Amino acid sequence: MKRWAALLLPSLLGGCALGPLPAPGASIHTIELIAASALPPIAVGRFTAAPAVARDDRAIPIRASTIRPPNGSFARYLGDMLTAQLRTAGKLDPSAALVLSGTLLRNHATTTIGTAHAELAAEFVLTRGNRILYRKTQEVSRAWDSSFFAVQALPAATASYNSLYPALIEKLVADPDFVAAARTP
Amino acid sequence: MEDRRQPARRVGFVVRLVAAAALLIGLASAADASFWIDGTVGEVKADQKVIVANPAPVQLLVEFQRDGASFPKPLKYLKPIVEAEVKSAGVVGAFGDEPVASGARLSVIVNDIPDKGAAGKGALAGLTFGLKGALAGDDYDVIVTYTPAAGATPITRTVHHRLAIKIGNAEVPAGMVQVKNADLGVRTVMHQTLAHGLNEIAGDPGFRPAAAIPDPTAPPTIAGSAQ
Repeated sequence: MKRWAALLLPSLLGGCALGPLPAPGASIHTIELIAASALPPIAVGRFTAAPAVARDDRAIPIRASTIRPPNGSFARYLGDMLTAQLRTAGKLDPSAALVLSGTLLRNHATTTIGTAHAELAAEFVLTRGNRILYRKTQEVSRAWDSSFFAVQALPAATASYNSLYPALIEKLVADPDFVAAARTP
Repeated sequence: MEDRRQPARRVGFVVRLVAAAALLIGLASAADASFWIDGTVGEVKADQKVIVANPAPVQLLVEFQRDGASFPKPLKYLKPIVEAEVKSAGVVGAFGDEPVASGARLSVIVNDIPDKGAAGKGALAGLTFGLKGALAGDDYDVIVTYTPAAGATPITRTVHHRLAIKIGNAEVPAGMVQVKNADLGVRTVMHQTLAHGLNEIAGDPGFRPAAAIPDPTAPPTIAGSAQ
């Protein structure tokens, strides 16, 4: 498929098959939120999936197709997304004492004809050395119109599902408890 | 236990199969498809072009969205086009992905607003072998935001454009102009939206190209390009 077809008229020219999600890109609103926050530079630690969502960590069924993470794990994808946004916002320091880790707790999407819905939840843990400064679950969900035609429904599902990741990060960064914990000496 | 949903699922599957076949026929007839863009946007007129004397380095961020949801897949194709347009516009200096010392940032969001009925139109064109033509396209909101320095008030401009494909015997609305192919259509849309957006930003009274660091040796800028 020509490269412009991903951009132009996905409804007419796009394919029905879904490939893996691309590597995390810049989410400008998320980056602006992080850059404007009082967060000090942070290191990103491990992001893993809870045992209960081990299957959902590898693939999300979307009608007859599936959305897959670029690196084999949606939990790692969340960590990579966080790393990309922090780096671009100038708030990533891999050697920082402040380390943010996470556990994927829920990862789900339904794309019936008419209305589709997806949700994502993770527990974030912020540590400095052996001290846990913050431990809280954040969750986001999104609903969108789902076309009868898969060629329209699949790109819409991919975009809507993918947008949960920056939304979850934004929810974390907007949590005053998280910012206060990050500023704890 | 018998699953009572099975017959309904089978019917749904058959309906989807027929629709997909019609769409495929529609795509097959796309051999004579033509591509059109909104002709009302056009180029920035030479006498309206703002010249920036000292373009400042910025962090450049590019995001593609579908209906407002971040969708990075087309960025591999789109980002080099945006970068080339930003470079040729001359409104900002050197740019890259990383933050710059001044905190200056230029962000470009390309929001694709798909035609919700496009697949149905394509299927109908296929079923009628192009006799019932289809004109379907996507609208694009290109949102350009320039932040002169960390903490400064951002300047935002949104430029709207449209790109459409005509299949079969469809009527093209007035104001649309044909382009040679889809790739040229995308490039023209990006060129025109970014040229207008960046030029308007450069003409905004809040635009400070030297990122709030005045250069006394610099030649004077023309009205509208600096405070």
